[in-house]
Amino acid sequence: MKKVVTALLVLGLLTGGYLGVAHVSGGVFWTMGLALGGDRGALRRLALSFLEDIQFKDFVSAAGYHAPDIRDGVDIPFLIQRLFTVRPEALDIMDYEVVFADIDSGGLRARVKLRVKVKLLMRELIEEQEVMLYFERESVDDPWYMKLEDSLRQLSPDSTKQH
Amino acid sequence: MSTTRRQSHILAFRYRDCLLGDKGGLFLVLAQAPFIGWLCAVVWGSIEQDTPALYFVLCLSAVWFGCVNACREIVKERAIFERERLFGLRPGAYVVSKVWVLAALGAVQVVLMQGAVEWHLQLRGPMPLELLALFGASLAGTGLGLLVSAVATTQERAVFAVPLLLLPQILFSELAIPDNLYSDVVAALEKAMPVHWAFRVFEESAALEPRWHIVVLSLVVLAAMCTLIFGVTTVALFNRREVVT
Repeated sequence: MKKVVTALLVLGLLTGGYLGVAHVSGGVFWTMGLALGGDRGALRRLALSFLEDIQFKDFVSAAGYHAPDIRDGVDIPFLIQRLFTVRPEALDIMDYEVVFADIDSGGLRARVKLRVKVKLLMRELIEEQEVMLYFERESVDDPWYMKLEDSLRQLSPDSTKQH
Repeated sequence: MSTTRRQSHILAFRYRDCLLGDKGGLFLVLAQAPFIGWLCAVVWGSIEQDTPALYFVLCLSAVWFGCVNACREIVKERAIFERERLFGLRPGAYVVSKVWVLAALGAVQVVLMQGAVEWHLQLRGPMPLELLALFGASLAGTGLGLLVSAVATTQERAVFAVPLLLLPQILFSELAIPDNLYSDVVAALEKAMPVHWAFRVFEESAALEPRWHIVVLSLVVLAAMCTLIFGVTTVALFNRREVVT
């Protein structure tokens, strides 16, 4: 009986210690499905959830990661085409993982780098692409919003500045 | 319980207690692993991606950990071993007891090292598989270290022999010259290096279309290498030696 209690205690301590490390690392290590990792953990989950939506071509849900005021106007299929240089129907997202999540010193801007394995269906070609997603928030208490629409929008020259 | 098994249990517990008794030494041994991992993260973090060179450094470090942990462990207590042999201690049990404890130590080291790298930069490929490859490399390094320790006459000589074990791991690798330029001899020698097989696991599991049979084969070869080295170490201990202390 004493051995069982000791074993359970050690197991509990190890699990607790591991989850503590997983939290401090920002969700780098497997968090057993728990919402650990603080801001960096939240960003990782957002980025992975976004890519899952893209993988299953749920563009309405994928647009939902943007700020509410621009959400309705975000054209996700067009942005995907610009991001992967291939039309959504010709793209099979096979696998994806976060390389790192980074937050600026002010805690209001963030970037998440992802490694995405895609199959270009028309050409029967498997490629690996690295994608950087940018996020921002108004204050540290606000939720993170994606800036995909901002980052991928066609640049138009600023007429008030020299080129 | 067979005699060999009973002896190895008793010796492993004794060896574990000796290691745990030297807390400062144990801390240094364990701390070097995340330190090397952190150094790797600093270097490869600057380009924000992993490369085959990083995999090679990790595999080489794992072999290094094993070698350094083990290279003095037999020679330093050779006098005790020879005396206990007079009372029926079997060399096989003695080697197994060392392997058990040093394998556990190596496992902790590789977890700490890869954890430190992944903390900053996620590596391609499944982490458990890569940890298994690093553990295999560490175990092979432990075997090489124990072998050196079994044949060395002094601790100093055993320590001096470690670079002679590690340098070939670098020389006979794709890092020195591209593998398509290898002569047959170099190609054969490369296959005798534990780092090569651990590296293959990393390389294959990170590929766009991994060939899992090569991953499995590499792990099997690593395991076979470890078994062979431990066997040779045991045989090396059969020679009785007069120890002057």
